[in-house]
Amino acid sequence: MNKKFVNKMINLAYNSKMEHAKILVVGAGGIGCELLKTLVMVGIDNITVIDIDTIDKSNLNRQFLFRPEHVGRPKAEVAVSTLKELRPSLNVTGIQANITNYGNDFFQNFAIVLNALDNLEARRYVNRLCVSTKIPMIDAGTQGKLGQVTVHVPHITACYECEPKPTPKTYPVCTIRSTPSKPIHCIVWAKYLYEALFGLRDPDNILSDLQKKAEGFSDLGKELFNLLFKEELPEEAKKIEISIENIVGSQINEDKIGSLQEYAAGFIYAVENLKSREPKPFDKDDQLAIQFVGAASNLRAANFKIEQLNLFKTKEIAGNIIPAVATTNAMAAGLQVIEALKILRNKNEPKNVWISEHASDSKIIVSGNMPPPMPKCYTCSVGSVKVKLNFNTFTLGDLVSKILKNELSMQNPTLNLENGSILYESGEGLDEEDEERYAKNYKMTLNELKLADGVRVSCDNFSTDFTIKLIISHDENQELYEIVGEIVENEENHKENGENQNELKRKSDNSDERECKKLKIVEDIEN
Amino acid sequence: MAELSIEERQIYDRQIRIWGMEAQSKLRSAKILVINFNGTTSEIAKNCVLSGMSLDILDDKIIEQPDLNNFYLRNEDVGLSRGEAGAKRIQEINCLVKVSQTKNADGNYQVVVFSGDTANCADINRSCREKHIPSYYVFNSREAVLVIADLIHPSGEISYLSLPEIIEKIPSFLQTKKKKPNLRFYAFLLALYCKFQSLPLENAPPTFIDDQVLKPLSEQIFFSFTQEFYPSLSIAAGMVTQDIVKLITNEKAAYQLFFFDANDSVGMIESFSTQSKAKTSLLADIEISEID
Ligand SMILES: [Zn+2]
Repeated sequence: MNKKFVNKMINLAYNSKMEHAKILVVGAGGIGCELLKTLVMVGIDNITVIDIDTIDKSNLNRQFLFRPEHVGRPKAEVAVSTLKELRPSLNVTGIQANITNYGNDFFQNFAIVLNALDNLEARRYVNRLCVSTKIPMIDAGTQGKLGQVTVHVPHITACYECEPKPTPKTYPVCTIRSTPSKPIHCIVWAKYLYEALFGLRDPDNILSDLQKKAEGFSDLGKELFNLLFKEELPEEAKKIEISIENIVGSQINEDKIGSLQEYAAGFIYAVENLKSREPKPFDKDDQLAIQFVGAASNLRAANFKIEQLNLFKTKEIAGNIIPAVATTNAMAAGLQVIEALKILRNKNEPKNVWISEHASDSKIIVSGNMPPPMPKCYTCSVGSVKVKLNFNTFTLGDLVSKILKNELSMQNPTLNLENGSILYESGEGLDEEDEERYAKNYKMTLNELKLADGVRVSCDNFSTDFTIKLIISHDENQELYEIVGEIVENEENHKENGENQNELKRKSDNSDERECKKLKIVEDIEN
Repeated sequence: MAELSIEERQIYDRQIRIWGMEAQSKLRSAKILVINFNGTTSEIAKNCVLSGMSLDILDDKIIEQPDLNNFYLRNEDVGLSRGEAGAKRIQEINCLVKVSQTKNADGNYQVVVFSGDTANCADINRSCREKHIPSYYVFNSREAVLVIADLIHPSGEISYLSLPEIIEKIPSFLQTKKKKPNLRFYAFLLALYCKFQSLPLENAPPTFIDDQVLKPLSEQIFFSFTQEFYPSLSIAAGMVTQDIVKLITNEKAAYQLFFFDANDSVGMIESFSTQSKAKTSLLADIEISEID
């Protein structure tokens, strides 16, 4: 029996008094409320919480620091005032803002950052700032009864982005436009239709042609109904055989699958109300938008003989709602605080932890070692990326939008050549002359910019203090671009981390982790 | 069963998506009895109330400074009873349910929850058994927490082990060889057994694990008994509430034992056989749960 293991038994609860570590909690939603409570109860009293959201009624089943009278007020502010009611001596600050407005100067103040976020973009942003300021970050997410907590210590363990996150599911345009076969295709179509008619009216919307056709309609609801569900259909689709003339608009039922008459009435009701309203992007809590999507998607489902869904379910799919419940949030937050204490006390090794619904080998909460950083990670390895593309057709704009923004998630990159000259810069504070020059460069191909094959371009993202070197080579046959191989690591960086990596690699040879992979939650998570 | 109001549907929207409308109506008519309002039961109470259940709190202990290691009790409550102050605070969380202090626990309860020392557990369990009410017992020590569930079926058709019967099985469980035992779990069970049987640790029953390894861990547990650690109790409270929801909505409960220790962040569940009688070998009774 391992004696060392027993000696390692530490005493998290009754060790020397907690130093006044400053903790940043990003998000005051379901996990955020639980985190604040548990942090306070283990004696951490110096906390800043930031959240951009205001309180919605559907938050109240789990975000227990809020009451019905708080609906509409900022989460961060109300959370802090409720905490202070309970514990007046606390040093807690609430900020209502988007975390992406804050940079290194802000992050540097904290000993640990705890994420209680509901979207990938913000998680990535926080991850980058934690990597650049070398502050440990502990992320948590829940989905129904499943939960996961991961610990990220910059350059010692994998960062949040070391393991690529699956991109959101997309559907081919033709499936949405003409060959739907599942309810989701009809819902996606109805959302595009909503955006085209009553939402953002983006010219790139795949249904913007329908919006143009509808422009001349005098009775928008009825004419649109006939166009969409009777006329503008592929041959194999079934026209809806009801006359819209005598249908009077009325809302559709939340729980029951309706008749075609009811959906037609729901469609008329939604269009009549939406056409006189200011355009507003789709929002799952917008009753009219949901009525429209519910009616339109079910009528389309009838066109293509696809299963129909009630409004309750339609809302879930259209709004990407991943249901959250207080118990799992409380457990995830508890685990986050436990791992945070391990880091703060530097006594035993923090773990990545998964909460599952069914036990495996009697374990319902499973922990595993933190994996080492991935050498090819764009975020935490200081290195360079090799890209192949056609210098004759690929523009600097393509490079900025497709590679730097999409692939590497930079928000406002600055591109420098090795001789120090600036190719491109964006953001505020540029003088007119530069702005003009960069706009011109943006449209030029790399060839026109007289860049040589194998050119090295250093790309900085100012707001996150993130730098990467692109090594770009010319390839005549490349239609788009190809990121070749791995990131080539800097020599120094390699040496610095080599030891840690080996050590952690050994440790992570643990069967628990393999089991956990199945439970990983990858989508954006509402909590 | 009356339909949910629009207000209820809006507030419970997300959890209705998990367990359904019918389950939500059942939760609305459920009532839980909380005995001993400490940190652990305050968390369970909070979770139950958020889920939409009503509850009574039985606790006439007058609040002193040490009782404030409870998120729902404040300095200004010192001098009130824990039941009175607790009911008031927990009620504030959800006005759609009813939270009251009770002096004699005379309600019609679906589940009873207790946390604290072992002393009164057997009595509480006996009264619950008489009324066929499932009951939960949560024990804390240092960073660890152990939950025991007496899942007695309200109809009495399916028999589950009572709390004393589960305790009686601990020695044979600790002697059943396992490949990779969770030492902290075993140490906790050993300490708990001694507490229940009023045995000094020196007279603890033998286990298949080396005494030198297990005893020091058990000692730590034994001498810190009832000390609560908020992150761990939050996790136990989450597990208990999830199972209460299952019981009330007629789903099968997940476990009879739940154990969590913050040091290795592992949560274990175990279920002993449902049959409380007519078994010849105690060892044969012990099954490792394969819940599905
Ligand atoms: Zn990384």
